[in-house]
Amino acid sequence: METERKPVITYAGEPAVFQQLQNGLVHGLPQESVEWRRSYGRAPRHVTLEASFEPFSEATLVDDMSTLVRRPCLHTFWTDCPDIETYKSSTRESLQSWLAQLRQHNVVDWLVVVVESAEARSKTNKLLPRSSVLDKVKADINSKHGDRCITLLDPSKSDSRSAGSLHSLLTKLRHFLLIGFNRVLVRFEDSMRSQREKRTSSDWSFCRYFPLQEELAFVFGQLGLCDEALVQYDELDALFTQFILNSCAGDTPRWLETFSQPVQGWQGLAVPASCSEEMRNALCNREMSLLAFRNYLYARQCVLLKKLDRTPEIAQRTITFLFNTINELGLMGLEIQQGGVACWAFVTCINVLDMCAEIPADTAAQQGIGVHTASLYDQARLKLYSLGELCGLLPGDEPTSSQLHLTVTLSAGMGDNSPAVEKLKDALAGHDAFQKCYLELSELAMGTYKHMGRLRLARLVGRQLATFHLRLGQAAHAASLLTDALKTYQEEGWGRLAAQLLLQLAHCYQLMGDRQRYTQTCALVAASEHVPHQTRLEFTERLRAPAAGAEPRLTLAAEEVVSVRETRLAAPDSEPYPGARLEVRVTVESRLPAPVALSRARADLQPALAAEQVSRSTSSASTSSAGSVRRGGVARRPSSPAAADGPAAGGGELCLEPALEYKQDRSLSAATLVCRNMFKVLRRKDSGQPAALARPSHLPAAAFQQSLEAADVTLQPGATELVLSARVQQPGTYVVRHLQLSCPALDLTLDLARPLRFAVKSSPHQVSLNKSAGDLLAGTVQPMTLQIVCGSEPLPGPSAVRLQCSRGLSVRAADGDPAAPWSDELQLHVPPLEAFQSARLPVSMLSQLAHVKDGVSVVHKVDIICPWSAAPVEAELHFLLPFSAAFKVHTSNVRKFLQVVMHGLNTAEFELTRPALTVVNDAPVELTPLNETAETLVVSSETSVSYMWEMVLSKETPPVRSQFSVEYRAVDAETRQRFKFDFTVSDYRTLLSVTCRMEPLKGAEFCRSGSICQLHVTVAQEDGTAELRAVMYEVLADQNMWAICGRSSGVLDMGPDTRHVLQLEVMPLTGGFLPLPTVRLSRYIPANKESTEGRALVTGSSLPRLEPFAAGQVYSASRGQQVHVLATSAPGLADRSADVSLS
Amino acid sequence: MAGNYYFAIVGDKDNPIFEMEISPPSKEAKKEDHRHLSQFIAHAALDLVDEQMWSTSAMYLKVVDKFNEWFVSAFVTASRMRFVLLHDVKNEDGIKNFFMEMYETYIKHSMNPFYENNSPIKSSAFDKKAQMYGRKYLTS
Repeated sequence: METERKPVITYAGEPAVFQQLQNGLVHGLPQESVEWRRSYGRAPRHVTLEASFEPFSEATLVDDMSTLVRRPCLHTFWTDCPDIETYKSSTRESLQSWLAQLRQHNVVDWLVVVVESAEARSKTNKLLPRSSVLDKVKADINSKHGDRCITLLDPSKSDSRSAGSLHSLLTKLRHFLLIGFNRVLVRFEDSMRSQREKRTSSDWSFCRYFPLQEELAFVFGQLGLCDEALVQYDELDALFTQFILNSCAGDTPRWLETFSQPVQGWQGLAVPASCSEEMRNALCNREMSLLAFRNYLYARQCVLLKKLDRTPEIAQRTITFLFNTINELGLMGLEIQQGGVACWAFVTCINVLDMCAEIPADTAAQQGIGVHTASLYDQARLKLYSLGELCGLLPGDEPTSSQLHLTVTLSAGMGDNSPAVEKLKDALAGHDAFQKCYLELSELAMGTYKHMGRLRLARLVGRQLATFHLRLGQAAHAASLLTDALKTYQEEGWGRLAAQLLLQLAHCYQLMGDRQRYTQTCALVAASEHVPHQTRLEFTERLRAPAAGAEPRLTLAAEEVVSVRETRLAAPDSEPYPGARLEVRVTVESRLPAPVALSRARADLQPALAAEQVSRSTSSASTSSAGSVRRGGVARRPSSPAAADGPAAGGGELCLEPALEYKQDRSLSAATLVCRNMFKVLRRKDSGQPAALARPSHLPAAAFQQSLEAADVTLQPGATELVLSARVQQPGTYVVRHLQLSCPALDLTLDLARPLRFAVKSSPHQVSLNKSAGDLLAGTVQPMTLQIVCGSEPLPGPSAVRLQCSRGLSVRAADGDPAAPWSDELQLHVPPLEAFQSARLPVSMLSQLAHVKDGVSVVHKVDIICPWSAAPVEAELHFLLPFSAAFKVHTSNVRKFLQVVMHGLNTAEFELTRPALTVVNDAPVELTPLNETAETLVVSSETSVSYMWEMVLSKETPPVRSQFSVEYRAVDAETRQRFKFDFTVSDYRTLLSVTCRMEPLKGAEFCRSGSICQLHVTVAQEDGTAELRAVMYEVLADQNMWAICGRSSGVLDMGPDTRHVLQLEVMPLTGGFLPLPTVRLSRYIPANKESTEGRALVTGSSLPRLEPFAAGQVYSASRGQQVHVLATSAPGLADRSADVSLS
Repeated sequence: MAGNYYFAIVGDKDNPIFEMEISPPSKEAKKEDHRHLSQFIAHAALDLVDEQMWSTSAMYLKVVDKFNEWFVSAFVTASRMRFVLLHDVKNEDGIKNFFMEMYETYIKHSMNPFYENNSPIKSSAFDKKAQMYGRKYLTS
């Protein structure tokens, strides 16, 4: 049939000549491909031409565009007339008439072939041009068609010339055939398009149009342009689909009724190598069902796809094809035997899969096809299942007679016995075959999906397969499939789907008799919010049920059922201590829909590992800072024992620690929080570990050896607070990690996400000595309190605490007798104390007031000796001094005065009364007070107080040791105390006096700057008894004011009543009131001459030296004096500027 | 075009955050079991959505899967939220419009500072909007 769709070439002239060549031409034409330049701007293609030859008849020239088949595309004329005479006599006429016929029908595609035999050629007269037959023919036909006339050398010869000539004939033939063919095709396409445009008209029929366009596809296929052919079919497919869709919208053309007839057969897709004319005829005769038409159309597409080597696309298209067709059947509302469509789809799938199996494995195509084959397997599986359902072949079903009848009906409609049909018939024959087939397909679908990475689809298949296994009674198979699927759904949070699987799983485990898993699953179902309430209640009952007759207790992991909201110590502020009753409140949230009575709830209590233990605070650390610098409050404790949980525990928690950084001088530079487990917490979260189902709980062996317990509690739906308690005997750090809730026969265990950690420790008694507000002051009575904080052990009987003070500090009980003596030791009675109770005992402290040089405070220590500890607790007390005293000797020529100054060091005010100064040693000095004795003066940091005495000297002036005493009283205190201040005055007698006088030079009235003045210095010895040999004087002047001319220093010999008057020339440098230059006197000890003579060096050195006088020994009479210096009288250049600057 | 629809929004952790069934008013609500099936199909279709979203730059992926009588259309937002719609009739333009409107509604919802991304949407306003667009583009 295919041959008849080749383009036709007619032959005319001398048939004998042509027939001799026909075979060669038929075979020669397709040997080479020709470039086909196409109209409408379509890309040029290389095509292989084949042609069939037919004798010329005028009938073929009729212009009928209804079909392409048997349309002549080229007309040929063959002649072998050897000479011009013959040509003229006969051939010319027939040629002319042939051409005339062609012209009449407007045919321009023709070719004249003149076959020349070798001898004929040789006979021709080569001398005369245009004398050959060919020339004659060319002359006869229109000259512009000269190229349509060719010559062929004798083909019977096999030399190269004739072969070349045959080749060029073929080339020409192909060329003109293509041109003719193209012309025909263009006209055909135009007519076809115009046909298509009429598709809305009422008398248009798809059944008539389809063969037209299909013919085009045939022609393209013929030319080797399978893709173009496929396009034609795809267009037809789309057109048809569109018609169906439109018909749904109410626009049903008449021809569509053809396809509305009931579908009688459900032959699957078969892909024959060639197109069956039978089908085409059936279509034309409107005897084709929709299913058959679809099959036919898709089969054609498959054939072309296969030719194009695009088999994978077949698999891909098949899915769409199946759905489209089923959809169309539904849309058209076609009557079809129930199950027929499933049979059709199954056979189609299997056929396509067989086709795909032909693709060699391990190729890219085979890899790419996987996703589609998986879907096909899945489809086939689904269809088979639905057939099984219909025919009663599912496990557990027995086919009824009507179902058996249905099977027969379906088998009858399946058509020819292809392998796929056989397979289906087999599968429908009995339970075993059906099972085998279904399981095989399911495994294939699931495996392929998994292989292609479509895990979710694989899970869906798996779930259905599990259902099938369950029907088969193979619960274990089903359970493993369901568990896999459940994992996926749980991971991705599809709660409702997971709940469905849980229900199935529970059923599985029940069948398997796996009590542990069954109960666990029941618990999960009961806790699932996606299960209807009634079902949840039912499963909660099932949870309680095994309680009845179960001999080994079941332990379930209950994380999914019960969650712990909060765990805390009942009394978070009191530290648990050994022997105390410990209560832990656990708030749990039950997801069970009904209350569950628990016979017991307990939480295990495990000692924490040594490394995790909270560092213990020692007693000394908490008490040593007692005293005046104490920052108040009790020493730092771990803020609350319950807060001590955490580090290294959960892993999910941040383990934060404070970190303090100090500068070099130990002052705080930065306070930061450091996270020790940062990398653990912030580590990448990979697709986490899913909550495993039915996981038996892994409890350490030591769990629940020691536990906090509560009995007979009811777990209400929602939150319940459990109070668990125990008595802990051993001190240490404990961790609560696990919780166990016991029903009568079932233990629910769960791990705490945040383990509770607390320390049980025997805390020591603490003693501290605390001052009241403000600083401690020396010299007055200071109230203080001794605080005793009882530790975890009570202090039963009355006990005593002894205070021992360092020297200078005395103490007495504050609440006792006010007249009680002060002592440096005090015994205090402590009342009996309960654990963590505290007692405060008031005491009074008095620090003696003593003069401390340059000091502002005195430090005292108090040892607190407690009966419960061997080492005394040491408290350091800093007492501030209220005031200090200083003395000073003043001189007026030879008279001496003593001043005592009291400086307040504290804002507190003190009254001073009755000052007294006495000479302690036997120095012959009389002190005459210059003070008002009855006066009361107040000293504070703002007010200083001075007292003054004159020293009346006698001849002897030994050092005077004196004691100053004054009575003081804090302004708010009652009693007065005496403050004593000892000091020694020495070298107080005036030995020398110096007087300076400035005089202008003679003749001048005033001192003027810039002019020489005279400085008179008088040095006199006042005390004749003093041994003074030589005195050195130095005139010291401010160099900016005075310029000393000549010597400014010298040595004066001294003796009793010696008086030296020195005159120095001095020039003032500026004007104004200038202080006089001062004169410094020093004791001059000349060099010991004797030492140079080799005598002992005891008395002096070889060099003279100076010794300064003590402050009271030299009286400078003119100290502080100033002289008025006038600005310069003779104005000079420099002085004027100075004046200017002054004015 | 009347038909049955099942709409689900799937978060980027593959968890469902919103589901709704849209049926023509005439038909009675589906059985519970049927709803599970829809969800099973929607879940399985995620495989195909994840595959196909890389093959196009459009957010609307059209029909990605077919299961028995169901078609599955999908829409992927920039943040990989996936809108999955099961439908038993073809209605490409309607579904596209529905998806676009739902996308806008979802974005508005996600801008609510009290809404945490990827958590189930429990807003009656959102529900109403979805129903409204369902009626407008799908079942009417």
